[in-house]
Amino acid sequence: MDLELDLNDFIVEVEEQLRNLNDGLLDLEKNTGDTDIINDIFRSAHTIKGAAGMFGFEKMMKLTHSMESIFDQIREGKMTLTSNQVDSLFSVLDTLNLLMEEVPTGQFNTDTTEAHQLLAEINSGEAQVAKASPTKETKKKSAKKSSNKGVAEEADVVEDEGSVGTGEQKKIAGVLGRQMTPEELQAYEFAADGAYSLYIADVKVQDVAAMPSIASFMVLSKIKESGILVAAEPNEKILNDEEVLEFKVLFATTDSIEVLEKEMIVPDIEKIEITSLNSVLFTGEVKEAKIVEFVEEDTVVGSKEVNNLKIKDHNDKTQTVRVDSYKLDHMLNMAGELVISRAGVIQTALDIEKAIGRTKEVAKLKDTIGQLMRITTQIQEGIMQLRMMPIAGVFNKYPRVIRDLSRKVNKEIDLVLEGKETELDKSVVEQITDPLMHILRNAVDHGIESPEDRKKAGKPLKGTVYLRAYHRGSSIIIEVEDDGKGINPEIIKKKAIEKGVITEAAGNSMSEKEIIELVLAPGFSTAETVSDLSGRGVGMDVVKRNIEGLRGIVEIYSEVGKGSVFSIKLPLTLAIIPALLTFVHKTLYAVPLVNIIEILDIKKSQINRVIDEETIRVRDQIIRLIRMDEIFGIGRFNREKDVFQVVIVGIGDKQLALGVDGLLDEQDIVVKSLDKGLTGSISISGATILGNGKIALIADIASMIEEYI
Amino acid sequence: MELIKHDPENLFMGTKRDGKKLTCMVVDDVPFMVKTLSKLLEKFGIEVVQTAANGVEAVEKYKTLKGRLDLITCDITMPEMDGLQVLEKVMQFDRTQRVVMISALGSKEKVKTAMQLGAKYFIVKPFKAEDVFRILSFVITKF
Repeated sequence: MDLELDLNDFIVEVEEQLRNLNDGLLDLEKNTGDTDIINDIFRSAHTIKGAAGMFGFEKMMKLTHSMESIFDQIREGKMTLTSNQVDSLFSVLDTLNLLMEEVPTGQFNTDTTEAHQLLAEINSGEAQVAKASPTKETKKKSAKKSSNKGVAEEADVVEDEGSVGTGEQKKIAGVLGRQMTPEELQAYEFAADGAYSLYIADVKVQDVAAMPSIASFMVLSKIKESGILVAAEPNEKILNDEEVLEFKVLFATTDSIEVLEKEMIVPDIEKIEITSLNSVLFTGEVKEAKIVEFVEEDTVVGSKEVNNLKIKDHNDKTQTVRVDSYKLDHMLNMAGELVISRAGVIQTALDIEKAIGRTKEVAKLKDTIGQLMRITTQIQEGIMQLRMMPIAGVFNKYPRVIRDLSRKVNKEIDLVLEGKETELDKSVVEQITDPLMHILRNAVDHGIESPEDRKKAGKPLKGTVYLRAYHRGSSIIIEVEDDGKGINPEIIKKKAIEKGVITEAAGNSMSEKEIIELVLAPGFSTAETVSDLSGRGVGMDVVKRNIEGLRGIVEIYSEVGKGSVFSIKLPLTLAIIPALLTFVHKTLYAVPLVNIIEILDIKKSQINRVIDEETIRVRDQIIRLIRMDEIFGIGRFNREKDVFQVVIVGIGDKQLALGVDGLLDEQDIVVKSLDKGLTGSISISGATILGNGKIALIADIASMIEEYI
Repeated sequence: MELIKHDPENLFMGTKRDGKKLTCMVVDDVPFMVKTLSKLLEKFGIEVVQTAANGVEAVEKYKTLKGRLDLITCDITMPEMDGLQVLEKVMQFDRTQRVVMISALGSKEKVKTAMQLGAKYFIVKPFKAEDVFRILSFVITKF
C-alpha cells in the first residue's frame, strides 16, 4: 500500500465522503429503510474512519466509527432513524466538518463530547442494540485501552469483526459465484482501498481451442499487467491444470474500459464480458445499470467464431482526473497570451501586406495564420472547457440547508433541483454559492408561507422551492422559484418610502418590477419581524453586488399569492469576454459586449443639461450621459466636436450613455485582473493586452451605473 | 492489419491493402513439417518467403529479412537453439513481429513461456487446416 500519505488527498477524499454522508442522510430521511442509501452512507463513514485512522486523526476516527456502527445497525434492520435522530447525525456531521477545517493545522481543538453524546443517545434509543453486538463493544474497549499502540489497530479490530463491507463481500460472492478466500480478500481490500476500480470479467474460451488453459493464462496475464487480479473462479491453479472453457475473473485496475478493451485481445477467446463492479457494490442495481456494449465485428473468423468483447459499464461516474486548479488557471493564462500573440502575428501580416503588396509569400503566410487561428481558438476553447464544471457541486449543498431551515421555521418545504449538470466556469461556481444561499434562505423565510396560511390560501401544505440552472446563449441562468406568497409591490413601496430608500415621487413613477427589485436595495428589510434566517435585510443588496461583480444580473419576477422567481443571469466564463474597444484621446477602453445595448451618434444639440448632469433622449427615454474622461480623469474628451459617439450600456433596466471619441473593433479579450490596490470604486474591472501590445482598461459597467445613476 | 478479399469460408487469407501477399518464414527442424505447413500457408494465400531448419539459421535469415515479414511460424522444440531462444532474439529486434509458435500438445509450460516472451499465439501439432487458419487470421488481423 502506498504509505506516502498525502494530506491533500485526504482532504479531497474526506470532503467528498462528508458530502456523500450529508446527501445520504437527507435521502434516508425521505426513504427510511432504503438499504442502498444505508450501504452508501455506511461506506462513507467507513472510508472517513479509515482515512482518519491512517493519519492518526483520532477524534475524527472515533466519531465516524460510532456513526458507522449506527449505520450498521440500521442496515441490519435493528434500528430506524427518527427525524430528531437525523438532526443529531447532522450535528455530528457539522462537528466532523469543523474537525476537517482543523486538519491543515494538525491541531484538533473542536470538542467532540457533545457529538459523542448525541451518537450515544441514538444508540441507546434502541435497547436491543447494545445486546445485539456485545462483542463489538468489548473489542472496542480493549482497543481503546491499548491506544498507545496506535489508532490503526483500532480500525483493524473493527475490520476483523467483518463489519467492513460484509454486504459488499456478499455481493462479490454473488457475482463471483463463491466466497473469497482470505488471500483473495486481502487482495480485494488492498484494491478497494486504492484508486482502483473493480471489474468482473466473464470469459468464454472457444471450444475448438487446442489448449484453453493457454488462452485463460493469456487473459489472466493481461489482467495482471493492467492491475491486480483479485480472484478467479475456477481459481488460477485449476485454470492452469485443467482445460476450462468458462471462467470469471475479479480484478482491479486503474485502466479505463477503453484500455482494457484494447488489451484483452486474445485468440481462442469467444467472449470476454467486463463489468464494472463499483456501482454493483454500492447500489446493487445490476439489472438497471447502463450497459455499454462493445461487440467487435469480426469477419475474419466467420460468424460462428466471433471474438466478442462485450464491456458493460455499470459505473455512471465520469472518468475524471484531478488537476490543481492553479495549473488550469496558468494554462488559461498562457492560452490568453497565445491569443494575444496570435493577434500580433495577424497584425504584422497585414502590415507586411500593406507594405509589399499581396505577394505569393504573403498569401501563404495568411493561409498559415488562418490555420494558426483555428488551432489557437480550439486550444482556448479546450482549456475553457476544462474549467467548466457542473453546478451540482453548489446545488448539492442546499438540500441540507433548506431542510434545517424549514424545520426551524416549522414550514414544510421541498427543494427541487433542476439542471444540476449545467456547466459553468469554475470561478463562477465558487462565487455563486453564497448569493444563492441567501436567495434560498429568503425564499424559505419570506417566500413560503406557514402551513396554516397555505391551507387558508388553498395551497398544498408543503411549499416547493425550485433551484434550477440552464444555458441561454452564452449565459447561464440560475433561478430560485418558490410557490409562496409572492412580493406585494404596494407593501414594498410603502416600506421603501418609509425607510427612505426612495422618495414618494420616485415610488409613484416606478414600474411594478422596479419596485419589487427594491428588495435588492441596500438597507431594505420586508419581514415584519427580523428573523435569524435571512438576517436583517442586509444581504440581499450584497447578493446583488456579488452577482454584478460576476458580471451577472439579478431580476425578480413575482406574483402576489403565487410566488416569486429570482433569476440570475451569469456569463459562462469570467476569463475571456467579448468586448467593444473604444477610445478617448489616447486611452483604450474595452466595454463588455454583454452590457452594450446600442451605439449611437449624438449631436451636441441633443444633449440636455440640468445643473451638472447631462442627459440624452433616446426614443423617449432619458439616459444620463457620461463622457469617459469624466469617469477616469484620463485624457481629454474632444468637446468641440459637433457629433460624437455614445455607447449605451445597461444592467437590467438601468442605462447609461458613455461618450467616447471613437470606436475600434470588437474582440475577445482576456481579462487580467488588477492588483488589489487598483480596484475599488474606479469603475475598472481589469485590463487586457491587445494584439498590438497595447493595454486597454475594461470598463466596469456595474460600478459605473451604481455611481452615476 | 486490414486484409483485402479475406475469405474465411474458403480459408483464403486475402492480401494486404496494397494487393500484395502476406509474407511468412517457416521455422521447423523437421523438413516434412516445413513442407506441410508451407503448403498450407500457400493455400491460404500467404507467401512463404523463407524457411529455416534450425534456430541459428532462423535468426540469421530473420536478420536479413527484417521488417519484411508479416509472420513467423516457429517450432518450439528444436535442437541447438530452440524456438523460445529464436523468439527471444526476434523480439529483441522487433517486439511487434508476429510470431506464432508450433508446439506439441504436452508442452504447456513452454507455450506459456513463449506467450510471456512475446509470441502472439500458438498452434498445436498435429493441426487441422481450419485451426491454423483461424489462429493465423486472428493474429494477422488483430495484432
